[in-house]
Amino acid sequence: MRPRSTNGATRRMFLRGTGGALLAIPFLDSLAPRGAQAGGTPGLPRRFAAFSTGHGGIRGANMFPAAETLTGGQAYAGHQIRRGPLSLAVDGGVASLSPVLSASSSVFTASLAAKLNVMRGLDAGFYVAHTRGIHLGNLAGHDEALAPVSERRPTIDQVLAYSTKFYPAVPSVRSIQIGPNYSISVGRENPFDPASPLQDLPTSQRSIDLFNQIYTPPDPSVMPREPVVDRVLADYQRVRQSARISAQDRTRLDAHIARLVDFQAKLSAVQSCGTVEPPSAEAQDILFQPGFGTDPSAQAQYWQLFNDVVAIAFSCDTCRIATFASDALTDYSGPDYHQDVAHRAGVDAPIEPVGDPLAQVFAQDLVRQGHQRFFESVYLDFVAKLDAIDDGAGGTLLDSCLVAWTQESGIYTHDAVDWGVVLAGGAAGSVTTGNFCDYRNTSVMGNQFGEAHPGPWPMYPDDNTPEYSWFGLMLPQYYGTILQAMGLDPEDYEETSYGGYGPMHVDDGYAAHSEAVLAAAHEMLPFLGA
Amino acid sequence: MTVHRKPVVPVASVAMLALVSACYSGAGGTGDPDGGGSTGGAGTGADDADTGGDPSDPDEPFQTSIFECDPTQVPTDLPLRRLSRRQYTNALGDLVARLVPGDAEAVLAAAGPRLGLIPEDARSGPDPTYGGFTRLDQSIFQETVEGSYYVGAAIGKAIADDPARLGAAAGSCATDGDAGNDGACLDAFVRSFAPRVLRRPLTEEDVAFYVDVAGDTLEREDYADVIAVLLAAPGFLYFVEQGDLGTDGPRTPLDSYELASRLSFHFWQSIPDDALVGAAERGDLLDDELYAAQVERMFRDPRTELAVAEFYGEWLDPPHLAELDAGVGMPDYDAFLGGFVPDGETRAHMLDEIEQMGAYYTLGVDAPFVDWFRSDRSFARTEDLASIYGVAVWSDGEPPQLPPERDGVLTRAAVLATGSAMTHPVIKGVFTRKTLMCDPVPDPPADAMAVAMEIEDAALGARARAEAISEARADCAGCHTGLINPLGYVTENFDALGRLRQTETVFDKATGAVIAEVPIDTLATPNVDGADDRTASNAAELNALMLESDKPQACFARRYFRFTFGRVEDDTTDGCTLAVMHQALLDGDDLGTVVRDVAMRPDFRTKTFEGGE
Repeated sequence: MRPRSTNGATRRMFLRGTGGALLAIPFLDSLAPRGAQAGGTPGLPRRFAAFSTGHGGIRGANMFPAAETLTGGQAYAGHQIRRGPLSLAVDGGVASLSPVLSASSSVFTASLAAKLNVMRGLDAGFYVAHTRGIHLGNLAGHDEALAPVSERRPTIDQVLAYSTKFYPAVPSVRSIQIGPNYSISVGRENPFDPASPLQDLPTSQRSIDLFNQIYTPPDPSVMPREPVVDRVLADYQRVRQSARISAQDRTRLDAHIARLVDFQAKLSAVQSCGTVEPPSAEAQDILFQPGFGTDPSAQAQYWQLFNDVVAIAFSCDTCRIATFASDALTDYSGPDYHQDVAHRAGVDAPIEPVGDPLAQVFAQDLVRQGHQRFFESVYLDFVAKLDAIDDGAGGTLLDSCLVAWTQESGIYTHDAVDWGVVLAGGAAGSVTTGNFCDYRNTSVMGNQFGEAHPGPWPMYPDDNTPEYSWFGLMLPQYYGTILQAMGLDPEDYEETSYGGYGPMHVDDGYAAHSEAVLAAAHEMLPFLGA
Repeated sequence: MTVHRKPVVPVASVAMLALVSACYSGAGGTGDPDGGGSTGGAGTGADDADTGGDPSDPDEPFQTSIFECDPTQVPTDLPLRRLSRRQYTNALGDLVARLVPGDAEAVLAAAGPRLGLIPEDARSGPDPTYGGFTRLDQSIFQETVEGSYYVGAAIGKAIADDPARLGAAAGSCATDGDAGNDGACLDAFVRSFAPRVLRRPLTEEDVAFYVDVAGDTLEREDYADVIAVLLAAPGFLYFVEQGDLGTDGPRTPLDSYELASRLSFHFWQSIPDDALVGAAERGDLLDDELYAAQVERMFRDPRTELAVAEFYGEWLDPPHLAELDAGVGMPDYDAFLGGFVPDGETRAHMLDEIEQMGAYYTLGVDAPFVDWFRSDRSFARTEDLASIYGVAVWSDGEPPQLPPERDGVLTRAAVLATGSAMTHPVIKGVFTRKTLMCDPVPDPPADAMAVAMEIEDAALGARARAEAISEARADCAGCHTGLINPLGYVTENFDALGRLRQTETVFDKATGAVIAEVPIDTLATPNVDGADDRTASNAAELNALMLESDKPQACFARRYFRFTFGRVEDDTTDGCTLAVMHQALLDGDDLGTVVRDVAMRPDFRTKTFEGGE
């Protein structure tokens, strides 16, 4: 297929992807415009994308805008929180909010920066070490078994995926999970049964297959005829009603039946795509190239190919949710990035003290570089693509989205204190943008490593401003903020008197978080409410 | 009902306390919740192995040094187990081959893109890296449900669209243009094909249900619909087992067809063949002798090798084995390789050897467990791996003899290689403890990995580095010195590629120049059972200590139990099957016999209806 005529087209009308995917974006006439506001147009369907990177441990001075930009503030939950406008500095063709949040000024424009929020000062209530669950609200779902299994929860993307408020009609694809090694999304075996077992969701491994899945079946003639799916469903019902089947067997059958019902419903889902030319490059082929692990440009291309497909899915309204499990884009060639770099991100010494070309390289510098590449080449690439798509209501598709980027750790590797979020988009008017929000309470130190490693830790030998971590607001409040911004109400997901999403788990070492802080989790995070 | 249990000395519990104590001397902590589902630790040696009872008497309690069989305990089954993805794929292949024998490949190719969207199974279990098997992945995803439908639809379409294929599948009546025989033709097709898909005889209700898929007016594409519905049916994708409807009790015997299905997917990873279906039809599988004959026939069939290889491959998969060509170009690694040229397949060749080795001792020869565990033969099928061992490539027949230092699983390249210039004794120790002995290894202190440990002396060898890093902190040293590191030190006479060495060469990372030649020190106190100060200085001595503890044999029993039943073992309710396997391995029964006879166990041939019907 070829794209439609480009006569009179603006740059917003076409999304040209990395691998040749070309989408003539319709003006989405079906989406009723109701007048634009700052942060997006109310009433438009909302989309949510979550990018995650492992390791973390990015020094605050590298990750966040300067403290001097925090020109405002207010008392909140018993302490003073601060806010300032995001102010993009441009120097030599590089636009920056911070050393990590910087990119070519041709892409990272002031108008795009104004559609971001940067937040710091969010905390887990316990030591999380390695975690895939922190990004999306399954805080107890991590590798180190530091929280009880009973605290594990579906991730918030899956809460949205099966919410009738988020999806009034069953979509073609409820959610997309991408990650070459693992998923950050967790759902239930039977997503309609809150007692059903949790399971890590599978990820799409091949970008072209994903394109085929979300855009159109490879062969339309293979599309199932609804009555036949009816028969499959009826077959399961027959077995379910069998005279001799255990209650547990029946529960498993119910999970399958629930998914068949969902399948049946989505067969009538309507796509609103324009003309699409399939991508010509396959992300997995790039992943398998020799040297991929030390080639940041190849890593960027890999993720950009998936960005293209998800952008198409969002614009076609085939799917409104995507999660990405990535890592920093690194050229580190040592045997173990995590051990060699992430673990030393807070160490006052070069990586190898003796006889090594990296002798004068500090791990924190590698962490900064890797994450800056990720920001520019992956996160901002996706955000910019959404911002290039006209929403037909005077704004762009980005305006009705939330695109989050989070890391495994806060400013110190393994410790989720002073955890940060970069958030793009206005969620169709639900979120104001252009804010740097600092939720830390700078009178309560958050060093969690105990007596063995008393803080603060110096970062560089020539740096006389060692960085403290301070307690702030709680992560369940962030998760709840996303859910509320996507249209859910607290009663749709809250389960404790504190509010927020998920259990409010606070270990002894984190008990300095005040009751007022915990109780604030019911609300959207300050400064973001539209 | 009052249950009278034979009083049993809690041998394992005592040993477990010793193990934890050895790990935590001077440090607090909690035990690993998994460790292979183990509630037991070390035994007290082979002399204590048989502490009473008769394993051959299903009604008599007995115990081994690690497991206790209480026949009054009732094992619980996995609810509605599904086919693994591999089983599903194999079954599809066999079914399509039945329909269109000469054209199966093309038909399956038509479904290939859809098949690719069905998620692969993940190795699953409490600790997937150690003791996880793909058969334990029982996830039900949207992609699985939709994918299986689309695959069936694609296969059905590929057959129905081609008159030759449809004729082969359903007979000439399906393509002769005679509307008068269409109904009978479809009826016959359903009666012929559906029992193989569903793996049971059809009722008339079944026939009517599947024929009705076509509706009133029969067209060619209706065959596609029928095939699609069948290939998405619960009876195909799941083990729908109702048991012998005429019986009752805590465990219900499976019927003949259900037994055939269990056997076939267990040994062959696919549907029953004609002989097994015939045995099911005749009721042979309900007769102990005839059932045993089928088990023996299937076990000896070449198709069993794939399942056995999968078992060993997943059980022993070393998580630390990196791609061996990834570090090529780094000066120290290049210097270390010394002319050996790894490629993208070298790692796979090492892993293949682990599978081949297991299959050989399980299926190829009659050999006891110890012969496998301490094998001195090479199963290297490729030149790269054979050159590491210094032997000829194994093609057929007797596997080449290895040098005497290479004793057993511990000394295979897959276990020793790291993908870098330096060995990893700590990781080898964890592998030996967790993978080969199924011992729990407690989590490290929460901040153990948070701060990098600096090694100032670049000339240190791997052992000295491991000691400096892992034994420096008191709260780390307990486990590392008492539980982990010594197990890795014993095989330090092999380098990071798995080659024998006399000294350890330490290379400069930047230049590849030799910094030091470090003497090899393999003497260690492996403390296999947590309270043992005997030393070992080579793999043979360590293997002897481990075997004496009975732990590797028990670990084998645990892992093969998981592989067989698709769930994590429970030492109490599954104690009898575990104990029977363990005792047989301790007694020196053929490894193949032990593996085969799991299918003879009552829990393989019966089912619970947990939670009521």
